[in-house]
Amino acid sequence: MKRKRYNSQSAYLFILPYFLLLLLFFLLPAGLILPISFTNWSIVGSPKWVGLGNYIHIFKNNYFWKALGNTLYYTVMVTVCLTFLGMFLATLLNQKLKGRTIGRMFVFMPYVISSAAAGIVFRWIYDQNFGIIASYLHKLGLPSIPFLTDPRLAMISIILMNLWWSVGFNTIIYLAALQGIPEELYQAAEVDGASSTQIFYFITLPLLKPITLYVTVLCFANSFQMFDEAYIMTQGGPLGSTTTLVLQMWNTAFSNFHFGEAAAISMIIMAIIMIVTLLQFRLGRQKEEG
Amino acid sequence: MIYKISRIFIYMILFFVIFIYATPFFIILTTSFKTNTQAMSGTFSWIPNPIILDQYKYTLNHYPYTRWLINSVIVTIGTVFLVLIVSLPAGFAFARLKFKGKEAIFTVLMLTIMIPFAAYLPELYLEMSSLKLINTYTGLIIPFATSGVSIFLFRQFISQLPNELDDAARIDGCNNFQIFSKIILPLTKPAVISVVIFTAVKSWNALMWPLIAASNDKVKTLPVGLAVNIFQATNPGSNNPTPYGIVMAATILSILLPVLLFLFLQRYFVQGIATTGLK
Repeated sequence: MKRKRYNSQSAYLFILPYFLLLLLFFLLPAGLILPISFTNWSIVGSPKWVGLGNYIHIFKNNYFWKALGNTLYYTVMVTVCLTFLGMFLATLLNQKLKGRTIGRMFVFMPYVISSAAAGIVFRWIYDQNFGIIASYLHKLGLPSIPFLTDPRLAMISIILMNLWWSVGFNTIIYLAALQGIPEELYQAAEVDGASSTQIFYFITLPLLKPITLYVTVLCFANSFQMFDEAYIMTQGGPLGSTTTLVLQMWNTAFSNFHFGEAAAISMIIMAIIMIVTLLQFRLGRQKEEG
Repeated sequence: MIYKISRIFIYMILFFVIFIYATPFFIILTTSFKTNTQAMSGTFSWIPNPIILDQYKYTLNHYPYTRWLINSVIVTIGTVFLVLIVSLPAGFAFARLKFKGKEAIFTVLMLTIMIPFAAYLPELYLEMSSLKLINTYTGLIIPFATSGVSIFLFRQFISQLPNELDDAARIDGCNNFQIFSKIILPLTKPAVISVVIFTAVKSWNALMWPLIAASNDKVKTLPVGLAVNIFQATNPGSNNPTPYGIVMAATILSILLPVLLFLFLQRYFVQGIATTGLK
């Protein structure tokens, strides 16, 4: 009994430094979002209570729905593509091939460079007049592709850039998971005469399920907050076709200084992320049980 | 025969993957050694002719590049240290000790992972500016130390270590602090590597927070300098095309350190990331 009490007292000392940071720089600002979202605060002047005014204003605004649509489109596309591509690249780079070390190096490397650098490089690659793609299209006598200037193409172009920039992380995770599958399982299946396709579907894929949940949850949370790529490559344009919710919140707060409205957008972002994360975990748990 | 054909096919895919993933790096490198006129000629050449270093000289002479680099190094190292200092003991406490309110605090930890950083960014900005922490290293470091991800990782890792270690030490008269620092801490190396890599990459590449919290060149980090001072300033959306020779030289300078570190420490890097996924 005495030892238990001793335990509990010193435990607080262990978590104290983190807890102070958490309290001051997470709970305090995060706790302010909701009250601020009910005001018309815009940095100068004293904030006035406007009730649900900001929310009504946002929901009546076409830009919000467009940004929500863009964000959902981007998130779903990136999560699906990055999960499959990561699984595919890991399977490829797990084969006994000459040159797989070089392959791994180049697939992992983009992950360490900044979004700023990656975005700028792809601006250059996509450049309609002087970029590498335009240059080869020109040689073939074809018109250049307006990757970032056509509202129908801009978001897809950002997604393509992400397939290069951020797939390394998922590939590493999948590669580790593949290497963790015991060799005996494969050998037993081969003895039973299973084809390599069957082995992949009936052995590899089911064993990758838990890791796939982890990868999709992470991918969803990251891509739903997409900001850097749009900020660097398109500034949300053309015609708002790459404006995400976070970029719109950012513009509302730091270009228009409407902190009240920005807080209301934040509340909506948080609500969506929480609902989806909980759904994903429930889904994952059901799958594991069933 | 079929085996051979499928083998050739797999090698073709591997070659294609390497080509796609290596090309952007090659494009940055080759463009950075070209004159602006050559870079912007409309015909892409893989090897610059002539090879010039003027773009690097221009970047280093016209922008406080070394300052930004030093700032990035300071902020990244500071963030890594702060994260380790606060998360290691907390991870130990959550893995090994009993205390009141553990569940409640753990729920709050879940929140730090579920609530996106962007959501409270304006409020954090207002708070930081009233604390006069905007345009300071402290202001750039602290927001990256509140995420509970590393605590989860440490808790997970420490709870897998055998309990007998603690018990034996306790019988020898060690208190919690001694158990933590002498027994547990030396064993956490794989998890520490993981957190160091994870945090360093995140902090080094951060853009959104430094964009508003580091407007002054004295504390500005590389991604902001590259994006705002070099890229956007030379790319006003007017008729003047972006001088990509200079921009690419600046890009090379900004990715040099992380890429070299990655190449030398690739094994640790891969292990570190893989550790985050294993339960």
